[in-house]
Amino acid sequence: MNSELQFVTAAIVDDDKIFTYGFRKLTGIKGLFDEILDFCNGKEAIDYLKDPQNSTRLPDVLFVDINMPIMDGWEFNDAFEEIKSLLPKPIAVYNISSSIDIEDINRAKKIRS
Amino acid sequence: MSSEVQQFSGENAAHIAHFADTGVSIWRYNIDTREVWWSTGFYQALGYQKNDIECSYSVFFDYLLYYEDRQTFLKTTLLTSNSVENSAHIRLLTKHKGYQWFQNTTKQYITETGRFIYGILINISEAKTAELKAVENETKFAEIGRIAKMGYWQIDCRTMELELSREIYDIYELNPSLPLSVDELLSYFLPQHEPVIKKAIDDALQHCIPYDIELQFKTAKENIIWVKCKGIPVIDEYGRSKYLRGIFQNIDSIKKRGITMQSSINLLDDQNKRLQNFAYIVSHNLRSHAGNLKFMVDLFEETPAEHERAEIFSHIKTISQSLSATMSHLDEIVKMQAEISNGTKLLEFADIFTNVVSALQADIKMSGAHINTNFNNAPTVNYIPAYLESILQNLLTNAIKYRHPDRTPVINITTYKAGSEVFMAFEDNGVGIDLERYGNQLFGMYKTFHTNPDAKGIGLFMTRNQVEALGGYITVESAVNVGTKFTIKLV
Repeated sequence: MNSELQFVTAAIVDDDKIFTYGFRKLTGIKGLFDEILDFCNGKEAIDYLKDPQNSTRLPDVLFVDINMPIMDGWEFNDAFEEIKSLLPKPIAVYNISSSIDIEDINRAKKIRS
Repeated sequence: MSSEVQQFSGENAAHIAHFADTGVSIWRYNIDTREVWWSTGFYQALGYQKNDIECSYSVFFDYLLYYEDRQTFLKTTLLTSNSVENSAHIRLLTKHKGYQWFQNTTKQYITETGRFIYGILINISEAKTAELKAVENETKFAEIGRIAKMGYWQIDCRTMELELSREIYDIYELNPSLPLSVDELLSYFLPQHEPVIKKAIDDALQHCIPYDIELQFKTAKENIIWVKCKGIPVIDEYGRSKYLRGIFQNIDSIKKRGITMQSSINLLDDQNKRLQNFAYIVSHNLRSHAGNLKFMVDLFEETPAEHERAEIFSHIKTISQSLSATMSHLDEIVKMQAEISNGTKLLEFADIFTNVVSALQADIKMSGAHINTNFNNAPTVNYIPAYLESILQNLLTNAIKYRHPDRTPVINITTYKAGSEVFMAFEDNGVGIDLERYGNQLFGMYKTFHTNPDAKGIGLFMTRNQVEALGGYITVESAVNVGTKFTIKLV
C-alpha cells in the first residue's frame, strides 16, 4: 500500500464514531490511505458497494466491525460474499473487533479460510 | 444283639430284629403293659448313649417330644385303629442338635403276646429346613418385589403363554385373578410408547435381542407412571428364543426426580451461559472504551494543532461518559442480584403501574400514547417491588421509544392467571422487530437493532434477568410495522 505508486481508498464500517474518527486521524498521520470512506453499519456499506453509481469510487480495503446495529459484521460478510463477483475490482475485507469471545474468533477464522 | 432279639415275639419279630441290626430307629410300645423298647438306631438317631436316658413312655412323651407336637403324636399314633399305617412329622429333642424334625411312621399289631404299636423314625430335618427356607425365600422374594415395585414375567415363545408375578398386577392396579394376554398388557402403555415396547418384544422374540427401556404407562386406575421394562430372551439349542423373561418396574418417583434434576441442570446451564455472555459483553464494552481512550490519548499527544487537540479532547470526554454509563449498568445488574435478598411482597399491579406512569409522564405525554390496562383477572402478585417496577418501566419505555411514526401508540397491559401462575401480557402497535433475524439476540446485553440514538441495549437484558431470577420467563411475538407483544410468566 504505497500511496506514491497508487491511489488507495479504505472504508471503515463501524458504529463507533470515536473509533472512526481516530482511525481517520491515525491513518492520516501515517499517510496510509488517500481516501477513507465510513459507514455506520453493514447495510450502509453494502448499499454503497452495490450502487453502480459508485463503481468508480469503490474502496480497495474494508475494515468491518462485528458488533453493529441493523447489519452486523457477520451479516455483512455473508452479504459481501453474494455481491463480490459483481464488483469491478477485488476488495480486501478485514473484520475488526475487540471481542475475546472464542466463538467469535473461531467464526472469523472459518470465514477467512 | 441277641438279648434284643429275644424281646421280640411273633412273626414280625424276625423282620424287626433284622431292622434293629441295620441301625434303623424303631420304637415299640406295649399298650397293655405300657412297656417301651427303643432300638440302637433310635438312640443313635437322637445322639444319646443307652444310659443317657431312661427308656420309658414318659421320657419320650414329656421330655423328648416337643410340646406342640404332642397332639399330633397322640392322634397319629395311639388313637389309630389296628393295622393302619400312620405318619406324622414331629420334633424330638436330640442330645447335641436341639430339636430335630422326624417322620414318625407307626402301625399297631395285635399278637398272641399282646397289643403293640411299632414306630419308625426318620430324621427329615434337612428336608424340613429346606422346605421352610423355600417358603421363607418365596416370602422374601415377594417382599423384595413389593418394596422395589418390581414384578417378574415370562412368555413362552411357542404358545405365547404368559406368566406374571403378583407385583405386575399391583403395578397395573388390576385384580390378580384376571387372566391377561401380551397384547392386553401392552395396551396400557401411552399411545406414543406402545409401538416402542411392541417393537422391543418383537425383536426379542424374532431376533433374540434383549431390551431395557423406560416408558410411560397408564394403569387401570388411570394413573400415568414411568416404568422400566427389561426383557431377556432364553434360547434353545438352535439359538431361537424359547422364553422371554424380564422385569417390569415402577420407577415413577426416580424418573420424576431425574426429570426435575434435568430441568434444574438446564436452568443452571442457561444461567451459566448468560453469565459467560455477560462477562464477554462487559469485557468487550470496557475494552472498546479503554481501547478508544488510549487511542485518543495517543493521538492527542501526536497532534500539535490546537483546534484538533480540542476535538480529540471532546472525544476523550465522550469516552469518559460512556465508561461511567457502562459502569452504572454494571451497578444496576449487581444491584439487581442484591434485590433478590430483599424478598417478595404482595403487590397491586395498579399501584406499581401508577408509580411507573408518573415516572415516565413526560415521555408518555410527548408520544401521545394510549395505555389500556386490565388487571382484573390477576390484580396482585407476590414479587420483588423493584423488579416489577423495573420490568414495567423497561417495557413501557421500549414501547414508546419504538413507536410507529405513522400512528398513535396504543399499549395494552393485561394480567391473568393460569392455575397458580400469574402472567402479564404487554402489547404495543409500534415498529416491531424482525424476530427471524434478531430473535436470539433480543434479550442480549448491548444489543441494539435500530438506529435510534436512545437505544442502549440494556433494558430487555435486565428485564429477562429479573423475570428469570424469580423463576419466570419472558416470550416475544412481533411483526415488523405491526407491533410487539411480550408475555411474561411472573410466578
